[in-house]
Amino acid sequence: MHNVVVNDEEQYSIWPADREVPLGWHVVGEPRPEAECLAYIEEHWTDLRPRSARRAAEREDGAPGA
Amino acid sequence: MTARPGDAERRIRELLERRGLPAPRDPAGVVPRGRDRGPLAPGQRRLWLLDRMHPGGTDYLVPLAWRLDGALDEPALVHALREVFRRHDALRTVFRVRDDGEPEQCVLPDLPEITVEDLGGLPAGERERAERAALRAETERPFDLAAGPVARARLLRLDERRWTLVLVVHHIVFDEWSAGVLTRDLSALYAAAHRGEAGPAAASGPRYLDWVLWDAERSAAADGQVDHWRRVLDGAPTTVDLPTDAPGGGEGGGPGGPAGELRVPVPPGVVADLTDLGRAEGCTPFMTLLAAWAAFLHRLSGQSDLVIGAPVARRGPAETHAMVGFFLNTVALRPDLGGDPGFRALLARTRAVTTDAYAHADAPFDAVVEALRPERSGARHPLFRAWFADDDAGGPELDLPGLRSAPVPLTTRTAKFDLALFLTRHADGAALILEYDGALFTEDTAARLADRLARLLAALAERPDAPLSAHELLDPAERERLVRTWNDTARDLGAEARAHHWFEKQAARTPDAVAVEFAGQRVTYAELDARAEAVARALRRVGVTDGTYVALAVRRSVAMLAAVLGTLKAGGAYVALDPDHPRDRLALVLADTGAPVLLVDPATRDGVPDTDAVLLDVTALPDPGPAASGPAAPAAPRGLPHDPVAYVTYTSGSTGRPKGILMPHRAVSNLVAWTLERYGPWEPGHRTLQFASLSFDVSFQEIFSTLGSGGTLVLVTEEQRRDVHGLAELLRRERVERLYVPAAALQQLAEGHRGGATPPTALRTVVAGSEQLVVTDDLRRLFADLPGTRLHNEYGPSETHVVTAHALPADPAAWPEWVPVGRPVANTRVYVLDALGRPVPVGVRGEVHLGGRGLAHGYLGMPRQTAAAFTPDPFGPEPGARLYRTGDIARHLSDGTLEFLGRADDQVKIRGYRVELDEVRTTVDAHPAVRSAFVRVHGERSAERRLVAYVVPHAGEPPAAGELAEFVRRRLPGYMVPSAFVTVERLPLTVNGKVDQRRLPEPDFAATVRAEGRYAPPRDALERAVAEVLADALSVPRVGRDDDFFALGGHSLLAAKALWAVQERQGVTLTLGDFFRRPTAAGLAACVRRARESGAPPPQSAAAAERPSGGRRLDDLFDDLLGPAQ
Repeated sequence: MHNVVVNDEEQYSIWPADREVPLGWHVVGEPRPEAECLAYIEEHWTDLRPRSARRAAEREDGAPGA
Repeated sequence: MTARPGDAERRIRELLERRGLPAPRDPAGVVPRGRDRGPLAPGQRRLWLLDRMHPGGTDYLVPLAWRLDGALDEPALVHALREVFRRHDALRTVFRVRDDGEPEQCVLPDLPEITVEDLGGLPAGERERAERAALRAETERPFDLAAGPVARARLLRLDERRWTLVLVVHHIVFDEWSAGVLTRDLSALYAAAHRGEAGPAAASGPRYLDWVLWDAERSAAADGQVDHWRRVLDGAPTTVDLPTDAPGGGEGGGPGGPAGELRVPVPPGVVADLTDLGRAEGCTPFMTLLAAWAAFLHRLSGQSDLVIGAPVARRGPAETHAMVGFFLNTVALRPDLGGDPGFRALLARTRAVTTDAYAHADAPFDAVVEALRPERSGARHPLFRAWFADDDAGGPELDLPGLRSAPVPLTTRTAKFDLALFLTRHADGAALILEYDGALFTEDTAARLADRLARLLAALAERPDAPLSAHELLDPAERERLVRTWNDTARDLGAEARAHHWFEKQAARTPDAVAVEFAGQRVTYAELDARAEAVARALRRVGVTDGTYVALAVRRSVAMLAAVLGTLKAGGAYVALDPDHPRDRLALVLADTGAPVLLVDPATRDGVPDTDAVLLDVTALPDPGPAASGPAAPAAPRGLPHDPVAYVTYTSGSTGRPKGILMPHRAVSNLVAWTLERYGPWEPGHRTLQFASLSFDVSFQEIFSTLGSGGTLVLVTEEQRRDVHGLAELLRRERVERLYVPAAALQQLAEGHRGGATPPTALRTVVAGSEQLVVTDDLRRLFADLPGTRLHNEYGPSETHVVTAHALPADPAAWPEWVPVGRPVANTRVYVLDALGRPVPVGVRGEVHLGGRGLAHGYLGMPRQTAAAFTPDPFGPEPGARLYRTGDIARHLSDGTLEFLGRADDQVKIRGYRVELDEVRTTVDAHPAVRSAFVRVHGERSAERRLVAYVVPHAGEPPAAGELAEFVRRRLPGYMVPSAFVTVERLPLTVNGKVDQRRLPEPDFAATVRAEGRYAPPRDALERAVAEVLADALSVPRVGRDDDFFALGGHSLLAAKALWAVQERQGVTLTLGDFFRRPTAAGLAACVRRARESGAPPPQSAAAAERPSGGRRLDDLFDDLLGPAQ
């Protein structure tokens, strides 16, 4: 069984449920089979850029003359 | 498993009964038949065959030696030795060949020689040396099995009280047990002779030959047992991946080295604790220690499936117990380590496996080998390379009245196994002896292994129910070294936030320095910056902003560099399209990125697929004008700490879809900073060849490290890049100082140097990458002629930037054949992990995981694949950091450098390119006439590696190989098109349901051509000579006059090789262009003739002028050289 995990940059990954989750990662939902974890991620992780990059880009998109 | 009858055997019988298995047939019935000649036992036969194959070998001598201290009765000892030889037929046996070619053994009355030598006449200090020399000589003197004798004794007298006795017997008549029998008999006979008595009576009754005949009858009835072994060992691996010191992990399969021995430092009581634990599970000590040994090998190798060989003493009948002779059979044990069992559970499994083996031990081992037909690897053992034996029968020590005797350890043997464990018993308890192959392990490594084994044994005894994976193989100090010390790479190198700022700052510093040279043009930093600004402006006008993907299809030129820099300046990420790839592939990449703009030039404009993207011709942008060509100030950083993508490279994907790797600025800027630090100091105007194709990440390193340090980037024409043989000349002419080169192309360069051309002496730094660097004599010679040039090896998959680097020693003579990839670069970390994500010990294989600043964001539009490949980093100092799981297998060497060993999956390198076999398979599969397909690699060495597709057609006509090749060619790059298509009715499967590659037919690369009936013999001697060279290069029996080299499976590296051979033999200069235009024996022969007539090579421009059919192949070669993303 695996967990879906996510870090502060909103990057997703998976991690064996029986192992301690590394620092800076948060478990999403319940442990489930690896394939289900990946299916969840496929559905929910829509922008692969780290959050900081996305937010910066959004700011600039909205800025005049950018 | 030389279990003595008695307790152990009774135990086994019980176990057999419990499992409902037949007990070995009645062991009684060895009757005296009074024969003095007869057949060989199966095990003897194997040793006899080995002796015939390697006459004069000493691998199977068994030496026994003792130092004797006291008053020796020399005549009594000689008498006792003679009596021992007289009593045991086996020691008086010779092995002859009968008229029908079969061997037989004959017992002769002649006694083996007994030599007595007095060393007392030598000066005191020399006696010991003479004794050691004599002992060594005895272990190095072979026996002649046909002439006999097969045993000898030598008694050395050092002085009145010190003697050394050495007995040497050939293994063919002597097993471990025999040593006990002989020692006991010798002790008793000496004691009697010393007292003047006759000694104990010789055993009457059956002799060794009687047992051989009895055993033959039993084995004849063991046919079904061979079937059992065939079933049990089907698909079993023959090797265990051990942490050897041999380069590349020691899979060479060469002959074994000298055997070394070490006592395993097991804490007191641990072996007893383990055997107690085993007994409770119904295990004999043999089974228990076998299980522990298996657990150790499993943990070392990560293999859950492995095979361990063991001897079985076939001394069931009591009559054999006092006999000297060879009674052994060998069994291959395949313990079940799957599912991470605890030791107690493993004991039960091992008991079952061993009991099964005992029940089927009548099958002669050779018959089992024969039935399994394993792929033999040189001199190594055919079914296993690890061994376990319970040397229970060490027997009584030599006990001569009035004398103290101490055995002299003599290691004479060539190691027959990579690693073996022996359980021995002495007066002071059980001991474990680890025997290792000195060709694979240094003494240090072996000692470390023995320590680890001891630690694991203690852990197993302490926590028998914990899963095997729970036991730590590392001690804390080693763990600290692996995880932290060797990864202590964090450094502030002052890297720019955006990669192109390196260039902009340099342009501000040295606006008038030459940034690029190309076809006679010299472009300054300021000019290049202005052209890049012009591109950026044009891109912004069409809406490119931060994070926009910009596709690039621009031939190498100053405009190409302006396009790259301009894209980054505009905030975009460039996606280099290889104009030589099939349109379908390019269309797929365009659709994948959704790039709104495609930068082209007039040469590529017509070749790009239909797209909605805006096409911008980078050569037709408005002239930036003088105002814009002044020094440009770096653009002000915007929106930091924003880390946008700098470029996207595409690589083969196992799902059948190529993957776009998103590489951010921060990562590649770190790479530039590290490169500048590592390879500096940088002279102004230093010259780097821009050699790699833009679609390969190494081009980024070439371009940005040069333009970030005031150097000059030397661009070459497509034409020049394609000419492998011209590369050395090009480097010389352009005075290139720094070269990034794929390992395969470097090899070509070195082979070309063999001709003795002047080397490119301006070279200072050569960086090899993209494939394992293997050092050849040619390569050493090249660099010996370039004393001012250092060779470096770099490693890093496309998902990260370069992660490790290794500088080879200045002296090429000191280069190892298998070059390590080195240590982590600044701000990167390398972990070699086992299947459970834990660091493996030094020397042990594991999967490479990479962390730090060099990681890509992931795969464009593929969250599933990204999440699976980029995992949380449990070791790194930064919370929330990720590791990239490479799928590469490597190990740490003891100095902390990393050695690359291969792949964990189906990814292969073809001509330096990374190829997922599944992507090729999926593509072949998509052909409507194909029901299923399988793709594999043929050939070991890099230059010989080719893809082969096995195709199961739908009912009806199978598609022609040519049609399939064309189908694939339209969809995949040239290096991914199989060289042969083999039609099979079905794909053979192993018991596990995987395709059984061993049972796939060998591809016939010539079949395509032959099937079309085009074979035409060469017309004259020249054509014949050329055809032979081509056939040789292709490894096919023959090549016809008009057979297309490439249709026969040739590729450009093979072509370069063949061309080289033709040049050398015919004494002419040819170019690859000549060959590619008419890649046949006839065509090449015509070129040779022309070259002879004109006395000079045809002008190079001819290659450019006429390339309608050659063009495709030239491009393939161009791929080869510019190759490989990693």
